[in-house]
Amino acid sequence: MRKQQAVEDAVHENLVNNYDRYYRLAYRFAGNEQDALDIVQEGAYRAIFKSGQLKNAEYAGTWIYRIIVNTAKEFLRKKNRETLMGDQMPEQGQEDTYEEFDVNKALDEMNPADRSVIILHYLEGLTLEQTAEILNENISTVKSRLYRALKKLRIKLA
Amino acid sequence: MNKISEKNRDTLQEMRKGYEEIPVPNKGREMVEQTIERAKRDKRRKRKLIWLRNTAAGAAAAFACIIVLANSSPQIAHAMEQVPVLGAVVRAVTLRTYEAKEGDYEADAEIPQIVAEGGQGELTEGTEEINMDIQQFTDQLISEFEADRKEYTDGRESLDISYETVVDNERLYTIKVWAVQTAASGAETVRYYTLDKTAGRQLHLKDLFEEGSDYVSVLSDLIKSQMRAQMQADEGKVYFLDDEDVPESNFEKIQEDQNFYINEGGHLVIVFDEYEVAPGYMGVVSFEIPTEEIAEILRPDVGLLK
Repeated sequence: MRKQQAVEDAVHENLVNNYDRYYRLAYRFAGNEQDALDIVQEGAYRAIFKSGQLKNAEYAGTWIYRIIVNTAKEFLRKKNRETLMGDQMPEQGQEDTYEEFDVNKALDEMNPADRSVIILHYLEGLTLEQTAEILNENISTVKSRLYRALKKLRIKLA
Repeated sequence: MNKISEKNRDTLQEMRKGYEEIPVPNKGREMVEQTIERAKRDKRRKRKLIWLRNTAAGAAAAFACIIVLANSSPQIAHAMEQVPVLGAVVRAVTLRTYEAKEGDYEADAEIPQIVAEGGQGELTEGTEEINMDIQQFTDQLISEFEADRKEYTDGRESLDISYETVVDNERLYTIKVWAVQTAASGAETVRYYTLDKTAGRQLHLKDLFEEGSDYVSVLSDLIKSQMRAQMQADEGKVYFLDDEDVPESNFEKIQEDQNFYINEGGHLVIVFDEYEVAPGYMGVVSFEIPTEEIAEILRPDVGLLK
């Protein structure tokens, strides 16, 4: 009851204060501005609307990451279906204004589950525990995904 | 994982740099505030919509309460006791009331107990167990209220506890005790207690099923399919089920002693508190279980379900 309002407030605050982080996360999945904007809007809506289901305001931050990741994955699934049905080439990330590295291309080609781990842990700088919490997986799964993903990026462990 | 060679550390750093340089359009920040407001509005509107939909049922419930009150006046209760029935006459009476008002803190609680007279003995075992359970449930709510009152002196909160007889037939007597706690928003909690008049004992959910049967899974699966069917048929219905965004609150299974009662039609009804398996605007939710779906695991000698 009292908690409910606190959770909604915390979700609101996080969405506004960490907007840039959620946007970059979405962008890393979508590859272009318009889609990234849409993913964050959809995620923000879902986070507020479902905030009553979150038990503890402290988790609002990680919880929004989870929603953005889920929304992005759904978006990619939908887009893949449309591409297959429409027999079209996927829209290429409408001329990115920053320089893209090859390693980023390798990241784009990874399956969304492995990609999430790299983005959250290495790019967003979240701990393995937080990453596991966001993806609703246990730590050992996250570690093996990370290992596999690093190999695909040709980043060798010393 | 942190044993990454120097060269590769650079690769990661470049990746990270590229990531941090992703330009964030300003319009996104403006849009998100609007989206938040829209979501908040929709959330409240949905709550109101369901509330309005439930008010028709609410009016009927209020009417039913008046009849219950009339029936429980001393003269009528006395008259009822004179009627020869097979089992005992079971009544609910208010054992004590708890009223408090201090600033914005308000409590109004009627704590019942059940009494059984006549029939086969006094049924003391069953009534005592139920009365103790009721006491425990209501004591807990009242102490939470008291604790909040002391902790948040500038807050506001109310607590209402009430009860009614929901089933009273030759075999069973069921009392429903419910509490509404209101702070920023409300939460309704409800408990059903059933006395088996013939056995003289409180009826627990497990008593209905064969020993060792996995009634928890059987009932949970039936409830899940009812939830899915309802959500598909009516967009306004939402249960915490198959939701990837909030997997920890997804409904997995009922408690071994989940709230239940057997309605006048002889069907098992499983009840969940507000917020237990659905968003607050869905209120207290219940599921009637078709008897044929659980026939295999029912104890044949209990014979309570039709």
